[in-house]
Amino acid sequence: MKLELHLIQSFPPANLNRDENGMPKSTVFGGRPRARISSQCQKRAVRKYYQDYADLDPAQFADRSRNWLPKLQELLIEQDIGSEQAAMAARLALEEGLKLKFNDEGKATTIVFLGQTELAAIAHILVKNWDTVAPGLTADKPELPKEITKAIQEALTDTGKPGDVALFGRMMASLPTVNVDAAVQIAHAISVNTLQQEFDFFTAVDDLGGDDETGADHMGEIGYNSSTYYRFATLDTEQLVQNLGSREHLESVVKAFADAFVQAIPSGHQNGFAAHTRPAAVMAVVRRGQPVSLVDAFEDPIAPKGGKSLLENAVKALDAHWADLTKMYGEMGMVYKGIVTRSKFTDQLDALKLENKSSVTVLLSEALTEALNGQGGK
Amino acid sequence: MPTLLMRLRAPMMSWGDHSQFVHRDSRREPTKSAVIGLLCAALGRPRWDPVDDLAALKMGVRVNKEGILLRDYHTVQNTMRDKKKDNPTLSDRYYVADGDYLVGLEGEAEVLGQLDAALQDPKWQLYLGRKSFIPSHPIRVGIVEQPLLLALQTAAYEHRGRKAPPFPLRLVLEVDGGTDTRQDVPLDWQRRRFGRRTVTTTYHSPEAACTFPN
Repeated sequence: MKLELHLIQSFPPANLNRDENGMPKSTVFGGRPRARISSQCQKRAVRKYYQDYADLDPAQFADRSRNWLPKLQELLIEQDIGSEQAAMAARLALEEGLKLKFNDEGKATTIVFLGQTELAAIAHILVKNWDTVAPGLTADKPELPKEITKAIQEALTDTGKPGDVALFGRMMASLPTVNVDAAVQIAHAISVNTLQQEFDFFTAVDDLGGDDETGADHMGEIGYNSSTYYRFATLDTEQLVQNLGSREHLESVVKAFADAFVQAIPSGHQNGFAAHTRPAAVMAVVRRGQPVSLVDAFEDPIAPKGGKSLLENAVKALDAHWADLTKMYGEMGMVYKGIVTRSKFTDQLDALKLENKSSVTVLLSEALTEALNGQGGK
Repeated sequence: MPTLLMRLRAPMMSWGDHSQFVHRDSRREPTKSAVIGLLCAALGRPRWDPVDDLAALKMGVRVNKEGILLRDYHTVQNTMRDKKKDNPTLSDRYYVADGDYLVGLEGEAEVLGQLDAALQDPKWQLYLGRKSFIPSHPIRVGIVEQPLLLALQTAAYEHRGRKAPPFPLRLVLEVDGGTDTRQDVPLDWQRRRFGRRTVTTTYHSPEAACTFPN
């Protein structure tokens, strides 16, 4: 089942995601320049958000790090293994099992996305087979028995992945067998209105300067724009169950993701702009088959017009596009649809009038139930 | 032979065929490897399975709307090539903004039927060149009992907008023994091996079903 989330959200002046010149990212859509927030930028915001707020077992979190060697060593020492032997076993397990390389300071040469549960599984294999592992550590050329190396690799491929890895996937060039195909797709957010890129010219004044110092001590420019975005993400529950290995944490992981996608905001330049808003409209769709982005609703840029605000017109355009698409293609494999808008925009709904829910909480809870309904484990 | 038609449309798409490392190019129309890769995802066919049956289909593209080639600036921290700490690898990822394509694949009816069914209920996620480039229109159009060129010429063309449609439309067709070579025929996904084919470009003005907003 595919869970789709479609959001309309406006931001006051902001620079949430920058290019190499420090300007907010942009693109062209419908022949007009638009503001853009990249998918990778939103993904990071989502991960950071639910690690702080979600009611999720920390074992479901993963870290991108180069410091796995001391962490694994610690786990072994906790199991009453001497520190020298633990250091050697940890190094061999990561070098031979995960094909990592380490520099002189014991840091991996590449950053690895690894869950706490996965590291614990490696430690468990070493400790459980300590009788066969230990003799190899003191040899001239220390090595792990082949079957232990294999067991470590299998622990990373055969068991369930932590939620973070299961949602966003993992690419490891050194050991492609532990790669995970992401269950979540996040589209680049594109503004529904034509981009108006602005520059803020600023000066800094020396607070402690004398009376004769009347000029600015520093001058600069910063790019920003205020835009209303269409944001879209889709989650494949089958892929997620396969990645997690069971249904055990399925619901909490999907909930954490859905909540975070609605709430999380990129942190770029927020100390200077404080562009913390909430979406004005949230739509959820659950269906079998191919998800469809509704971004074409905004191919003609939206503007405040006919006494209606930009957001009002954007909600109206979304509703009209939905009607168009369903008229042409039917409600392909759809099992749920629902929308919540700010109350002053509900008048704009026509095709989706009957799908209007009382709150985002109700909407997401209904959508999740449908998306997870009958979603068997593998 | 019949032709399977697919509509590829999204605000952002990417069609790389000679990209390496930090410079990721994009062609101005879908590559054969991208289209076959998309169909493999729809079928749920893993990377290690043979792909020669699909690579044998003859492909053509009608560019309904020429996109604009733009660049996304991307930073990746702590990569393998990263010698100094906190020194991000920069990459330039080109993409086509605002494009709209009609893709035709000519082949045996049975093979096309399977592909058409898979597009209605794809096994894995479908995307146009990169995972975040999600279609904004259903990909499936259907099968027509016409050879490739005729199928692309006669397929409906809708036009929106105040200006006249930008005719003629560019058609990029696979031919034997042409001079325009593309190295985008998938041979082996895992080893990233690609064979060559040649294409020819022709132009065509369809009868547009125009909708002009008031």
